[in-house]
Amino acid sequence: MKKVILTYALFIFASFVLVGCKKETSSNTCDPMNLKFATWASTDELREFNEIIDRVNEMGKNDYHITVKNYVSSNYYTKLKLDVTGKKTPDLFWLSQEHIDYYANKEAIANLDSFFSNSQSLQKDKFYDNVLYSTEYEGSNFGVPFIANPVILYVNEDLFKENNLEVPTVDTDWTWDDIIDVATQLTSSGSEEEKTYGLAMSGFPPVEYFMWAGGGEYIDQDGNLLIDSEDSMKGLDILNKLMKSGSVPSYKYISSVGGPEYLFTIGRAAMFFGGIQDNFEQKVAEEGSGFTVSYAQVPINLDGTRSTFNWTASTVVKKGCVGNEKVYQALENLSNEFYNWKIASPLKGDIDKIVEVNPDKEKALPIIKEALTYARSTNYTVDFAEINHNVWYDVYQKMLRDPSFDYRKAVKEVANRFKK
Amino acid sequence: MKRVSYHTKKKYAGLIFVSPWALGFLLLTVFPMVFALYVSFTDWSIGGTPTYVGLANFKEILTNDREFKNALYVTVRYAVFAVPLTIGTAFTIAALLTTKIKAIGVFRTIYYMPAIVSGVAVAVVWKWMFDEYSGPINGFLGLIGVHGPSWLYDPNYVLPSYLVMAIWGAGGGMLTYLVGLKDIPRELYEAASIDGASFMQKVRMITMPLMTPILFYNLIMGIISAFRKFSDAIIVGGIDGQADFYMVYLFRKAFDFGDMGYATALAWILFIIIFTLTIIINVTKKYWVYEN
Repeated sequence: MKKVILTYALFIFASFVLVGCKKETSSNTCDPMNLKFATWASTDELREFNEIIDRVNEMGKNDYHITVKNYVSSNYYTKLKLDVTGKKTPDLFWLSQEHIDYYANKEAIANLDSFFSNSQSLQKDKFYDNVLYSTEYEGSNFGVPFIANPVILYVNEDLFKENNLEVPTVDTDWTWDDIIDVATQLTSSGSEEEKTYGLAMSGFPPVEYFMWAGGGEYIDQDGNLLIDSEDSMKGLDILNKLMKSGSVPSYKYISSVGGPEYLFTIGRAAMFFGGIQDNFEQKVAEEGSGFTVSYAQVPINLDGTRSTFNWTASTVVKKGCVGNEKVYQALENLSNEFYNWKIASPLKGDIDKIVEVNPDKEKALPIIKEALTYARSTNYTVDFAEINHNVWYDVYQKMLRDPSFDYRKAVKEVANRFKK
Repeated sequence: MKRVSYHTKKKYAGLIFVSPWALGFLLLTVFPMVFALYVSFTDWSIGGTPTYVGLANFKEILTNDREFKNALYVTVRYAVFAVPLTIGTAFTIAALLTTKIKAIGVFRTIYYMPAIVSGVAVAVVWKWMFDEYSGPINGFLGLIGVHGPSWLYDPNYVLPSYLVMAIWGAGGGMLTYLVGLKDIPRELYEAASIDGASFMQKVRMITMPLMTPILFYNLIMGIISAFRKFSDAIIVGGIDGQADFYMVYLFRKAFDFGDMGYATALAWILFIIIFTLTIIINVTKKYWVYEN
C-alpha cells in the first residue's frame, strides 16, 4: 500500500513540476514572426482593422507577422489585466490614455523613447504636444498615439434659427455665462419627455474639463490632487450653474433615453459636447431628423484661455519587446496606417486627412483645427482609476442628479481620502 | 514473480479510478486556494511579483475601507430580505404546483423557466423593465393612475427592485420543494384526517417538519447565492452605491483598480463570512430540521 501511495504522490508532484516548468512565459519573450495584437475593435471597425493588419504584414513579411487578438470591447481591460497577470501579455495592444501610467508603473509596457528617436517618420515633434503628453510616464513616452479626439460643440443649426439666435461659428467666443444663457433660451417648456433642451450632457465631458474651465486642475504635473482647489471649485460652480439653469435634461431621463447623443441626434437637444470622431452627421441622417449639424468651439475658461478635453488612445508594446527593431518597424507601419484610418490623426501635419477619411467633417474642419491646438488630457497617475471612481460617484454624478447637492463639501471629502 | 493479491488489485483500481478527480481537485481547487491565501497577504497588482505585506490588506479592509462596509451592508441587507422571500415564494409555488389541475406540466415548466434563462440576458431585460420612462412596470402603473418611481435612480427603490428580481427567479428553487412535497407519504395525511386534524394542523405537524431538510438546503444555498450576487448587479446597477454588492466591489478592486492582493483578501473575508453562517445554520439544525 505504501508503494501505491508513494507512486501516486510522485505522480501528483510530477504534475506540479510539469506545470511549473512550462516554457518561458510569453511576457518575457518576443518573437517578431509571431506578434499578437490585442484590440477592442469590433464589427466594422474590426473588419477594417484586420485589413490594416494584412497590409502591414505584407509590408514586413520577412521581418514580422502580426495576428489579431480581439477582446469584446466591454471586457477589454478585464481580459488585458488577466493576460498581464497571467504573464501572457499581448505583444502589441491599445491603451486609452488613462491606463498608460498604470501599465507603465507595473512594468507591463515598453518605454518607447528609443522608438521615437530612431523612427523614420514618427519623431516626437511630429505629434501634437498635448496628445503625446498623454502617453508620458515619469518623463518617457510609453505609447504611440493613433487617434486624437478632442471635444467640440455640436450644434443643431435649425433650432438656433427657429429661436432667432445667431448660429455660432469658429469665431464665436462664448464665455460660460454666454452658453448657459443661449442654452436656456433654446430650452422649450413642456414635460421632460417632450421638451427640447438647450444642451444635452451626462457625465461627458469628464469633470476635469469643468475644473479647467474654472482655471483649476484635477491633478497637476507633479501628481498632486487639486480637485478641491479654489479654481477647480470655480469650475464646479460653472457646472452647477449649468445644471440649475434647467437647460440640461435630468441625469435619470438622459440615461433612460439612451444618452445625450441620442437626444441631440433626434433633434431634441440644441447643443452637445462631443468628440470630433463622433459621426453625428451620419447619425442625424440615419434618424431622419433632417436638421443641419453645425459646430462651435467650446467656451472660454474663466482665466481667458481655452482648453478642451482630448481622448487619445495609443498602441503600446509589451515590456519584453522593448528595443526590438522588427517590432518597432511593425509599430511604425501600423501607426502610419492608423493615421489614414482614424480621425483625427495625432500628427500635426495630417489635418487635411480628416476630410479624406470622413468627407462629412469638411464643415467642421476649421473648428477641429482650432480644437487640436488647445485639446488636452488630465495629468494621469497610477491610482487615477480609483480616484476618478470616487470623484464620479461622490461628486460628479451627484451634481448631475441634484443641482442643490453640496458638491464643495463632497469634493473636499474625496480629496482628503486620497491626499497623502 | 510476486503475485499481487486480489485486495491490492482492488486498491490500485480504486486509486486509478479516483485519480482524475483527485488530481483535478488538487490542481484546480486546493492549489488555487492555497495560492489565493498567499496572495491575500501580498501587495500584488498586474505584472510584477507579489510583495508580502502580512495582514495589511485585512487590516485596511476591516478598519479603513468605507466601500467594503457599504458593500457588506448592501449584501447583508439584500440577503436578509431576499433569502426568506425567495424561499417563501418558491415553497408557495411548489405547493400550488402539487395540486391536480389540467396542464400542470405546463405551469411547472413556466415557473421553472427563470432557472434556465441566461442571467445576463435576464438582467438586461430587467434593466429595461425598471426604466422610469419607457419600462413596462411604470407603464402598467401609469394605466392605473400611479406614477411609478425611479426604480434604479432613487436610492429608496434600488433594494426593492432587486427583491422583485429575486422573487421572479424563485421558481428555479421550486423544483426541490416540489420533489420534497411529492415525497411526503399520503398515509400520514390520511391518518391525520382520521384523527380529525385540520388543514393548518396537517401543514404545521406533517408538511413543514418533513420539508425542513429541503428548507435547510435551500437556506444555505440561498445565503451563498445572495452573498455571491454579481452578474445582474453589475448590469442592472443602481444609484448611490445601493447596488454595490460585495462581489461587485471585489471585481472592481481586482479588475478596475488592479489590486489583486487586496481583492483576494476580500474574497477570503467573504469565504469566512459564508463559512461562519453555514456553520451557525448547521449548529441550529438540530433544533429545527426534522431527521428520521
